[in-house]
Amino acid sequence: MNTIQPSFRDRLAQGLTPYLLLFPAIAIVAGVLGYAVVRGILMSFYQIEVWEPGQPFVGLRNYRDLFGSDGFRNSLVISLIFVGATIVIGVLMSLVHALALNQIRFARSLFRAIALIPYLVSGVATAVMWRFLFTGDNAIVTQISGALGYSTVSWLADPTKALMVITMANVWFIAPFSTLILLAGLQTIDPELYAAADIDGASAPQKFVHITVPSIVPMLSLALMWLSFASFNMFDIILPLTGGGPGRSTEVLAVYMYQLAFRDLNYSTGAAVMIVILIINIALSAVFLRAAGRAQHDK
Amino acid sequence: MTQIQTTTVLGRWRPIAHRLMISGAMLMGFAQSALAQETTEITVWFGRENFIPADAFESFHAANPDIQVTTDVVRLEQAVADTLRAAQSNRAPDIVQVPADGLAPLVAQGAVRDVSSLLEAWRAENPAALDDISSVGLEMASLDGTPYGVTLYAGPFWYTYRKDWLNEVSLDEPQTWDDVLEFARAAKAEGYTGFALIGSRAHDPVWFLSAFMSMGGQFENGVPQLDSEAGHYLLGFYQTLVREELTSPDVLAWDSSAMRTAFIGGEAAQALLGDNIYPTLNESLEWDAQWAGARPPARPGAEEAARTMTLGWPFLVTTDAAEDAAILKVMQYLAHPENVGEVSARYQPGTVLSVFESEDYNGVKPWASSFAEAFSDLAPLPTHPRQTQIYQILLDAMQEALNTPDGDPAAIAAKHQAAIRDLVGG
Amino acid sequence: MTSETGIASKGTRFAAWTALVLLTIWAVLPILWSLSASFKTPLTLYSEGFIPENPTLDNYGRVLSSEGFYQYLGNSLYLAITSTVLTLFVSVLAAYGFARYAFAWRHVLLLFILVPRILPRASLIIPLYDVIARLDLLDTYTVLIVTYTATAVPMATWILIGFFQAVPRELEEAAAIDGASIWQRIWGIVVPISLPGMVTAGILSLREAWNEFPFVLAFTTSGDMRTLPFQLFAMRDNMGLTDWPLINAFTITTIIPILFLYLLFERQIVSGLTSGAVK
Repeated sequence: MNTIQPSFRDRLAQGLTPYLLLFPAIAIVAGVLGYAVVRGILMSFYQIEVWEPGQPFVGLRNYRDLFGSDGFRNSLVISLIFVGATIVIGVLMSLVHALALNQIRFARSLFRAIALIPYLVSGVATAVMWRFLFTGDNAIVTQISGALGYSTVSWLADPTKALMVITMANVWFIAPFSTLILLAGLQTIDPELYAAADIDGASAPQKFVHITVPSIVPMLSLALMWLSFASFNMFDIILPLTGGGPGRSTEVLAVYMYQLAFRDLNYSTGAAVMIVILIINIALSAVFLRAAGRAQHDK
Repeated sequence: MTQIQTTTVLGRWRPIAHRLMISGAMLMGFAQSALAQETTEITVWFGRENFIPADAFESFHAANPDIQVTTDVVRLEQAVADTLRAAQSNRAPDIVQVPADGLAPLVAQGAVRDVSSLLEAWRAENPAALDDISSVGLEMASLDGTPYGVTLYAGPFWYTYRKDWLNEVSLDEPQTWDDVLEFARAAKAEGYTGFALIGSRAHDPVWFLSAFMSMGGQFENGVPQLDSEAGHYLLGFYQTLVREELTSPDVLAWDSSAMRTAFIGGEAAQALLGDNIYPTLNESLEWDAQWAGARPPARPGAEEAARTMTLGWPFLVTTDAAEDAAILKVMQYLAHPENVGEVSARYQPGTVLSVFESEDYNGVKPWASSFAEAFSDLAPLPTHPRQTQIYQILLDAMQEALNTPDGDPAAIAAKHQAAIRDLVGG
Repeated sequence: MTSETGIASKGTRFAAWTALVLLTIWAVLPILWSLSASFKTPLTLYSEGFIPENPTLDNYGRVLSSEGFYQYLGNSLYLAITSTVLTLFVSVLAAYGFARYAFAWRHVLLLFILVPRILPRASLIIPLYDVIARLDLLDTYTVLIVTYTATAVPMATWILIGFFQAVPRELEEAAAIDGASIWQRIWGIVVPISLPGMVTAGILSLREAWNEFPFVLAFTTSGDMRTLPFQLFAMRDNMGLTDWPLINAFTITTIIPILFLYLLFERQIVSGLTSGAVK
């Protein structure tokens, strides 16, 4: 009896320890982020709008209204284009960047250090610098496009080009982190694999397809996840850069949500947009993780 | 023992230490009496840093030690929304400065209060100072006859043009917007931008509405009637500027800074500029020789209906602000000719008449006297509870006109008027 | 090592270098263009090329002497440092728990910590504003520190888990036999060994707090509480004409401190991220 009790107490303490260790983190994350999500979901079922009296329960009406509104559908389409383009361009650029960094040996750490610099800059500062790239008659981008024989109209004045501008600014801002993720993946590849392939007489593209890509599939899916949700959430670059215009050509979901909640003071519909973004993000992550899992399994 | 030590340590510094101790005690005494008196705390949100008088309440605090004024700057662009949010959680300041066209939303939400009693107290105490504020100053802080505060700064957009270029092409000062187009064409032939225009969504469409009102555009219960002759003409005017390349090809990306830079930098022949920009403009170009300004032109055939729109930046009293006596003193301080004069000499024009007529002011702004008549006949921009959303629809209409210069302006107007109707109901 | 050079034919090396040079230019061009403008005057801004002809430090002088600059700088520093210290403390405990223990709901709790991270930061403001107001925490350092910490903990925990898992258990077991408590083992053994991970998590958390904008915008109203990014955002409104040289100088000023820290610890951060975050 006497010998069992301490060990029981030990086991209890042992069993509780991880929960105690986790408690502060869970408490602060749940208290702030978790609370926000739950509250946001609840809000989206009520009508909480400055202009309407009371806060009645309206069920799914906010969502019905959303999907029926031109503004939301427009934002959804623009978001999909914006995120799709960012993912494609971003993953290609960061893959090339990571491959190049992995390939070279001279001044490698210098180039690697520079590659991550845009990630350090704040969203507001990014917007300011990118706006400046397109400002004034001598704007550097206008000059370049003029020199190449294209129109010298500011890119921010053209709906299609403005969408390209925010996409490129976004790629500039978020792709460096995925470069780093991919570089990490490349560095874990066992050099022996390449050596073996060389003996078999494999060509460079063959090695890339059969060794490099399969080896970095987990990192690739991580990079894709990062690119997709960072883009879906992007708003501090777009708002100062274009304000959603010209027209509503750059009004992505996050900007649309912000305008609903903070300009129109329609909190509940804004919360509904937040939930839509959250669901899309979770769904996309699931897709990437599953794809990665399958690719791993096939290998 | 301690006594001796102190003496030796302090030595010849003793008298000074003594004095320090005495003044310290005195300070504590003051602090205690201040606590006993109970200071009244007043918070004021200014819409721009520039609106805070250079004195920054220093003389006010000296004269009213029992009132502690805290100032914060909440940008005009977010002041209405921030006040509404703050009011919902009982965190509103006592006095808030917002754009005058943001008054209706604040009243509709019960965020600001009737200040009739405050103004009566003011009148009883110092009628001259109150009468010194122009009628527009009081009107712009009122809705349906109820005053919610005082507007001490108000400024219209003046139609501003290159006088020297106008003379070169032998044209008279434009009286109508058709004349403006004519001058714009002549300027374009010389290689300049005919009319600098804001086409982006960066700001509320107040320049657009200023042109609208000068063209005889009307509001019904605060709702702009874009689907009207004036509205069609306005959209047509914007389209003409783009179609004939009389404005920058980048117009859809132009914000107020781009527009001002074009005029000040000598690239554009005409623009609608705020009074506050004139001092900067005059640093680059000489008034009356190179540039001049006037109230915005009229629509041909609607000269009678032309109105000169003005913006205003009233100081409003919020619903829970109860310290009437202290609030009145703050308002009087803000309205003091010395402070209004200081601010308006470097920033937006004031509504305090004695400042407006003073030699100092006219010395700093030599053009001011030629606008005096126009100033006495300004029409405040109407306000509506759903103002922010209406503005977004107006921006949609404006940008659609700029983006489809060959479209039918009546169709654009009708489409967006319908959107506004859906929004406000009825 | 040999295989690396072995697989790189001349053609591949050339392609790698071309791509690298182009991508490096792409990464620094906006910053350099901004830097260049910060040494110009409004008059020479558009007429001069990349290298200013008469570079002036005037814009930086105006930034440093601008109203409230040191207050904003101080706020930014204070918020970044306190929230980072708090983040590291909380994350170390959590990461240790995840790395060392198998327990019920482990995966659920891990997801629970990570998933909220994929919310748009701006959207958190909507549901949070009310409760913050009711707790009377608007316009306080507390609310910013707490929200910054909450958004930084998931990433920091994620990074540290990888590092802690790599610390050999034997080291701890030896210490445990000598009577070291779990607390002593965490801070005395695991954390010092995982220093690159701490540096990485710390710098990322600093970066996030230093650059934060939506929360400051929404949860503060008084000038005393504001930070450098907020001021960068707001300063254009105060100008009738956008003074690009000044704005660019301000932009560069906000980047320099975090860039300096990053370059100081670049090696740890990169290896930290590459070994910790992705395992």
